[in-house]
Amino acid sequence: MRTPIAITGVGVASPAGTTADSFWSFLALQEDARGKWLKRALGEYPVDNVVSMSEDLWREIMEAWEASENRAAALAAWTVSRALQDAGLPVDGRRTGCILASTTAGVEATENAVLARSAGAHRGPPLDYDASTIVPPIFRWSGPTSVISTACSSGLVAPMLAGDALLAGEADAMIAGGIEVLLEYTICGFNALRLATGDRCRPFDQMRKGVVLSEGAVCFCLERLDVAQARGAPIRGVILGSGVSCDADHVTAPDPEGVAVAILEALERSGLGPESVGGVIAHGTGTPVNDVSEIRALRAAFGEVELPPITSIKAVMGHSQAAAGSFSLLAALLALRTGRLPATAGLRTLDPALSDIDVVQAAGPALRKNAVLVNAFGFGGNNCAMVVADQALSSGTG
Amino acid sequence: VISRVNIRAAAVVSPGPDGQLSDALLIKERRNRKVGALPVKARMVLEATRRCLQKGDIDPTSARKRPGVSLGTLCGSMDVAEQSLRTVHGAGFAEVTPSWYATGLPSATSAIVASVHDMKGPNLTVLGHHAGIDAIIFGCRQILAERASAMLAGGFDVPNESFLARFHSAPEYAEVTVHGGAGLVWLEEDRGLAAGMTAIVGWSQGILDERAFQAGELSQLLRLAAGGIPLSTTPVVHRISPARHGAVDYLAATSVIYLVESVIDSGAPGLHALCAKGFGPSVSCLLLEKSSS
Repeated sequence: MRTPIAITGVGVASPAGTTADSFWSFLALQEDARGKWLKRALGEYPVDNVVSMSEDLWREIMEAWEASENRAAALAAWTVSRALQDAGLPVDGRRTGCILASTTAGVEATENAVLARSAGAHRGPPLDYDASTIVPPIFRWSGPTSVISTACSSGLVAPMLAGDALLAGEADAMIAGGIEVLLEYTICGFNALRLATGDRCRPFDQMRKGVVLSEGAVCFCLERLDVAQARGAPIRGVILGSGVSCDADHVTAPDPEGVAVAILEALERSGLGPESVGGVIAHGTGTPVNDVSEIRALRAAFGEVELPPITSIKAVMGHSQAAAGSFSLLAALLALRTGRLPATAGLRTLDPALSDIDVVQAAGPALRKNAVLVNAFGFGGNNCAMVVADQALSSGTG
Repeated sequence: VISRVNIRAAAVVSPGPDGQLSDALLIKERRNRKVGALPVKARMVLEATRRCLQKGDIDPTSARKRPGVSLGTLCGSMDVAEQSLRTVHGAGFAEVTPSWYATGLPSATSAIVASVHDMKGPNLTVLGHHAGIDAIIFGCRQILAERASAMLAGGFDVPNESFLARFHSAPEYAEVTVHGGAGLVWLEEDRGLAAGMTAIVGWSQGILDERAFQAGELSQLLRLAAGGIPLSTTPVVHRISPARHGAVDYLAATSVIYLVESVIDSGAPGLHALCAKGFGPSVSCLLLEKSSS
């Protein structure tokens, strides 16, 4: 096992609220949170339901950002500062960096311009078009700072890249996570691809029809475990290993072989065998193709070992694209803390093609092993997998 | 442990004074068996990839460990957002082509390059005006982390209409010429540096305000790029930011095109530091060593 990376802080803003506990409670309720998009009517599109953050929360987040039309920047500042606060980590005096992920940062200004909602309003330098400016400049970062975009795997890739930077000695601490703001352009794209459903998102169900788009942000504070322990930091969980791959194949359809490569690399780097994994927070989008491909990939990666319980949080949280992997990682941390995986809501009849898997339902079984695999995949065959555990396992006492 | 990363080959695609992306700057193929219709920016980056692989006599599939792709872009999916929304609110949703979204995502170009050249390693896209240098840094990190033994890395952009309108509405950029373009390097683990070749020997990223950047106050970034120790040789420092005086701006390709043309292809032997800043305060720095021919 390579040097573990400790997660020492979390900042979150989501349709479920602004704390990890409110997120966990939201998952436990398993309610259908879909509604109309409040920003404007979507009558032009076949499917117009989303899971969005409340207008009150948006007003609060945007309070200090009146001059900006890039809501991703405000959302990033909100969650980054809370992650640092949660970790009890001052930026000054430490080599701290920030790697954020987004598929829509910078595009909002374009959308507003096309829809003529900001004509003449902004005439300064084109900051709002440069997504790199969502890394909050209020902190004097002296470590790596970047904004990446690897489609819907972005929210897991960013923490992975931040971990690599820590292991390379480029920083003492890193903030990393996914930031996603719902835009009409995204809603248009998923409608055009026929991947958005007017029904509830139903991962692994035989009648699953697709995704319900959502928004939000989660940022994590990451430090090498030995560094975190030395400063007495709160340790929310530990990243044991991660893997990344590209299918190099179809633009939208995942290739199980490519996905399995990422899972195998995550397991190999974690130093754990598949038998040590207690559960899987799946990408689980609820599209007919994704769910079958993901299970095929898991079967290929686990080989003869029986698959552990599998769950998806997207029936409740929706699909927040670049933030989705970060929300799944947060769910894994909370599952390790509570000893229980969140249920896959919306599941009525398991797809017969997946009948041999154990999809977590109702309150879910107790987590029997203290390591969880998290998956996130994106268009273009971008795959990322991560093994997280509680601190005891990483120190060899688990 | 790999301590440096070699640049085995480099290539650019940049249009002439008229800014047109002529057929000579795009690969001939308009469709690909795996990808389908290829957007213009992907055809431009594929042409830069073809030139880069040809220059280095590189077969990506022969790399020791699966090679990856790491590209930077400023405009990303803005052109597709414009096209989609104008179509919906003009001709109607039924006229939107399903493939626009997936092949127009910021990350789609790097994924298309990977598909066409069967590169199954890490596939990264970085956003921002200085993202071309960021993408090279991420490429180096992937090699150091042993997630790939080689990476195709660099920057590309094709400016979209609303970005250009905003850009040119700012007085400091009103007269700046912006063109599409691409600059790529092939990075691989160090196996000794041949004559006339360039290696990346360090990098750093940080925050610097515009005044400090323009004043050349880069000592902290250079020290970090050198691994925290003072440099024994003073590097030739190159500063790249939006709209350098008298230069065409290629957005996220700007700094990589400069790197290829002014350091890799024609720079003097010795140590160079290339520092790129975007519209915000983020600055990325590459420390390069060029050997004698």
